[in-house]
Amino acid sequence: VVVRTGAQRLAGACSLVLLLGLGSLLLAGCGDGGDEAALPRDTFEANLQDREGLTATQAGCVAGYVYEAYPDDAIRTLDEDGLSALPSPLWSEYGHAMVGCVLGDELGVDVSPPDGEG
Amino acid sequence: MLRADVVRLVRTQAVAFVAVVLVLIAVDRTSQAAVVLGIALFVLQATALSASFRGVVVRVVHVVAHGVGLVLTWVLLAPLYLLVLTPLTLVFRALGVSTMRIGRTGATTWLDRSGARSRPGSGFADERRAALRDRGPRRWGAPQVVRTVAAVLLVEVLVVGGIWAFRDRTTPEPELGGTSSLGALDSPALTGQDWVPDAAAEAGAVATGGTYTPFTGYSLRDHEGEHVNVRDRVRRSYEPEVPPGVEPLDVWFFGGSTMFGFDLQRDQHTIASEVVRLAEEDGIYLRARNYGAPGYVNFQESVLLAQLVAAGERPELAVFYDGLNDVSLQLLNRIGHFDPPGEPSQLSVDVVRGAVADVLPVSDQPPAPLVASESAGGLQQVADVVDDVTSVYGQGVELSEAMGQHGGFPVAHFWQPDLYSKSPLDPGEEQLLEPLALDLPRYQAMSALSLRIREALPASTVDLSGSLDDVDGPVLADTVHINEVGARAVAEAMYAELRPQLLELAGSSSP
Repeated sequence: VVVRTGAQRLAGACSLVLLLGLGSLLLAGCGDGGDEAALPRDTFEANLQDREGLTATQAGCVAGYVYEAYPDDAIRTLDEDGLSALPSPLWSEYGHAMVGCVLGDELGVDVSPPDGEG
Repeated sequence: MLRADVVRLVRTQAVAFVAVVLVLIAVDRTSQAAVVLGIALFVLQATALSASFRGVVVRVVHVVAHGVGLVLTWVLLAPLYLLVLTPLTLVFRALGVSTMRIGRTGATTWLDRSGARSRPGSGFADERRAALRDRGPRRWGAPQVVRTVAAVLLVEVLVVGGIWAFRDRTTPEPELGGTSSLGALDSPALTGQDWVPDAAAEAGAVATGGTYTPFTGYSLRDHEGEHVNVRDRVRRSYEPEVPPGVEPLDVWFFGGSTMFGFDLQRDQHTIASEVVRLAEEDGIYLRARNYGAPGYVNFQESVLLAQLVAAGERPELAVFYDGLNDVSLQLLNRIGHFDPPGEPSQLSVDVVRGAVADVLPVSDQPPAPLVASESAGGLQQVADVVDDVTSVYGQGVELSEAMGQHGGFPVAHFWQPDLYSKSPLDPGEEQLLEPLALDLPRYQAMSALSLRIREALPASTVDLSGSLDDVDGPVLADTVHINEVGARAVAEAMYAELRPQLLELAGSSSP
């Protein structure tokens, strides 16, 4: 018969919680709430068209800048929660892209993102 | 019937699962919580019914417990060893104290097992340092004491410094500057001037020391410094030596951070100070009140003027200096949907709204439009943006002019230069474009939009956007903030417009 002290039992319980917590974190990373997972670019562009009334060309142009400059989690935040959810130092990239890509033709400027898409 | 130890194991597992599920729900991971709940049901049943599964669980828990214990030992004991035990040992050595030594008289708290070094009954071995028995306390000279103290300090500095360095790497402090973009203080326009670091720290303290204020949204609080001073929401300006019998003209300056002189001008070299200095050269003596505040747009400034007039205050002249903040606000409302476009608002309204919603049962979403509009609200056409900016700016101009008529003083409005209007850019300003997310096409688009807006400004507004074009060297530290050379150039252009009116107000005749 193995006699376990109170401390050993406590350590065992803590370890169980830790084990389950780690497992849950792994699950969270793989689940639908995983912030690190990249948002497919076509989804971002489609949402831009729906939400902002952009043409496919304009959305592709904006996405070109956004996917060049922003980390995956920032792109997802921008798509799901809007510009105000991003830290303000990141606003310029998207804001200037919107002005250039949406108003560029009317302003007489040919704006295209670095990779030439859009 | 389950055995007691099985019941205990199942109960422990159940508590652990419930804790994890609750945590997941609390962090809005409901789908993961559901998955964990499913796993919990399986594991709990398997544990209750299968002895081999219980064995696996116990073994896994044992391995993890061992690992956790090992990590905790290092995490908890390493700092204790380095921060407490090592310095204490060194100090004891310096003082000639050894807790392991048996004293000359034999008085000690250790149990004497000499002659029989058998395994003690307790878990501790007899580790007395018998070799020291006959030696008296070591008498250290000054060099040993100095070395020991130095060693203690070195250990502490290394350990504490290491912790700080780690903390700095993991949680970087935000740059304490004024209100410019990050890196503006390192721009060519501000480098090479030894007062900049101190003035920047003062400007940063002023900016972060501001407070929420009803109606205007934000106000500066008093600040005393070497380069930056604020009292009663007014930044200190240059004060001319006024001849006896002459009453200086009260001129109030309104604007955003550029009028205040953020990033960066010293008190005596802001646009307001330079206008006072230029007037002095003409024999016109001004008493300036610089109400510039970071983030202010024209409508906020006009409300502030209205508050002052309502309080019975009167200037001889009110001067407004605006531009980029007003454009940025309306663009953000079109692009970021912070507020209904084409309405008076304020920068950072989203932050204020969110903060209020955190503590009060109110929404953090923008209100419906004040005036019903058929506009879709997003960024669609240049004309929408131009109209948003100029109509709201026009409302502010109208409000301030009404205050002027009511109070019997003239009002002057100026539109500021910025990175989009200055031509040509100095090489030291061109290098600002990339960090500001402005490749050439987007810069050209922003410049074209800026021009379209300036062309539609109210007729009474004087466009100073060309006032920096002929200045040598870089003057812009970011999109709109300027150095003292730039402030002087803007002041010269502004004063040229104000001079006839000031001469008339002063009752002087033009030389």
